[in-house]
Amino acid sequence: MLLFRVLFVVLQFAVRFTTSLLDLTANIYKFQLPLKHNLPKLRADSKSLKRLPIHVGIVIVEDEISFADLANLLLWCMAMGISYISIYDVAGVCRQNRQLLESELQRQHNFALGKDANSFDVHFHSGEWDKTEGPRLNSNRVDLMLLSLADGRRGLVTVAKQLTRDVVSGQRRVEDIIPSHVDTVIQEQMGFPDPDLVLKFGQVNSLLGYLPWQIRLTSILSLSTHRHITYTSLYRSLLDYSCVEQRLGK
Amino acid sequence: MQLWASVKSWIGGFCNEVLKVGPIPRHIAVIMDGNRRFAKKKSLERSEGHLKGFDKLLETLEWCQELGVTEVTVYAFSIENFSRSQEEVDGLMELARQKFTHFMQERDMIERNGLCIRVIGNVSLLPKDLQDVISQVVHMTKHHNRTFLNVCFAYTSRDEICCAMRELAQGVQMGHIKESDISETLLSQCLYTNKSPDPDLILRTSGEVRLSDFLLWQSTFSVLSFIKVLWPEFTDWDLRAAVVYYQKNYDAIQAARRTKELELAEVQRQSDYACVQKEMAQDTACPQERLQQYELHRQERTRNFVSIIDTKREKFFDDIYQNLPVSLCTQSSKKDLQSL
Repeated sequence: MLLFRVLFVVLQFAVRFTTSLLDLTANIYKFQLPLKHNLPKLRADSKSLKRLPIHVGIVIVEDEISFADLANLLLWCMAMGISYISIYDVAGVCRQNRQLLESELQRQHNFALGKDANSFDVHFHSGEWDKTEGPRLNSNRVDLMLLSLADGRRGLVTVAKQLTRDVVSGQRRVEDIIPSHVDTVIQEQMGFPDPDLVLKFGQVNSLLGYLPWQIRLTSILSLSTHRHITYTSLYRSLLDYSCVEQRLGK
Repeated sequence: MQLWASVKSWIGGFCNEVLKVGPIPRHIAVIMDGNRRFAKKKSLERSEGHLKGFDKLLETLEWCQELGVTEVTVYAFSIENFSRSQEEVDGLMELARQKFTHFMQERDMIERNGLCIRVIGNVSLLPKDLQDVISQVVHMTKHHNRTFLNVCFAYTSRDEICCAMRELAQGVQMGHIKESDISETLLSQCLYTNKSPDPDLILRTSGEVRLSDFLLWQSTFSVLSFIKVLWPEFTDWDLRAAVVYYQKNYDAIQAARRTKELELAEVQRQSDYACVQKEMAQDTACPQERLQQYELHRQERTRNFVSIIDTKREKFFDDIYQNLPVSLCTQSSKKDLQSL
């Protein structure tokens, strides 16, 4: 029916129009608030939160990734005392550009915090935990995990294969493949706790393959884009997160 | 009043037709959250809130059907929920018993809609009498194939994934499949949900922004919609809004799914090739032929394996139906639950 078609097109247009309008207002708001950030303010903000996530997942569902903005975001997270951060995009762009991200982070770090440059001890990982690395002793240490599609469902397939080998070789009983044991195996491989909070950047509302096993209890918050992200948006998300109550089935 | 109601339903129907011009999600999964908060808000008994929640589910099924959604999966009871107060757990079990019995009486409606009801989860954790009722409903509707309702009961996604891993390990141990046959596709086929396509849209009510161990594997490429309204207050307009939301995300999700499929095929090809190479060490046969042959054999192996699992699961319900209790999966989840 033509009428339905016409109305559908109108509807689609209206939806797109409102989304871009919302985006625009968000950007104007950002423009009006050029915050000069410094470490003490961030630390004070972080202390004022009721609780802070230990592991934050950054999921980017946008086609283009701005490493300068991403590095900024990482820096704020670190300054607030978040010690585990994972970064994911479905095409694996972040993982492929690890060096670029590392040098951008270094540059932003020096720029934002002056030459007090030793304040963070950043360790990069690509998917798996480096077994040769020592335990976390330094309280300033931050671990960054760059993830791709291979760490999602495919990662669980790898675990299934390993468990199968264990069963066939008699090291493990079939009955012992239960959530708590499997979780231990996965935690050992990743070296990261489950993410407490996922910040999803972009208009698509899906995690597109980010760590399925680990997001069981993760709070998922959406932001429209990571480009020109401001500290205020990050702080507001963390504030939202700190107010959420965990019930664990109760 | 009556006039207003019919005008409203006419407008609703009209809007449905407009929406149907675009893509409609085939499969919607719902976390029906907020029954207890609703009860508190209206100062009702908790059980009253759960009852209202169930009525809402029936209504939602109708709305979905009007929109052309053929499959709905709902999270009715999590394994974690066993840790609620004994009184509430008993209440929920009693409600489930009543409602599954209720389905038995709605035979006409079920047959008219060709509704197939599946119960997904570790059913062996449930009280015996509830298992009996469930097996009756499953038995009654198992040949229907027009619309599907999957009820996740005594379910968590991690438990489901572990169950699939156990099946795979056992399959390799007994020689049904090879270790190299284990892939994303095969693991998906070992899940309780192996008869359903992955959900297109995940809906969670009452403002929570977590998946809470629901379809973690299946929802990796689904549109997530978290809405503020409490489940008993959910309306057909909320559902339509969710569909609009789905349509807005549709293109991007399809593109990502295509990327994923290409990647899957690539990984499978590489794995097949590695296996063929191992076999071919002394052989001089044409590699392409060998590869094709290997692929065919692998597909046959996994197909047989999956049908063994399917038969086993069907037999589980059939056995209860004939009053012979047997375990569906290795009964370890209960142990795991106690260790929590």
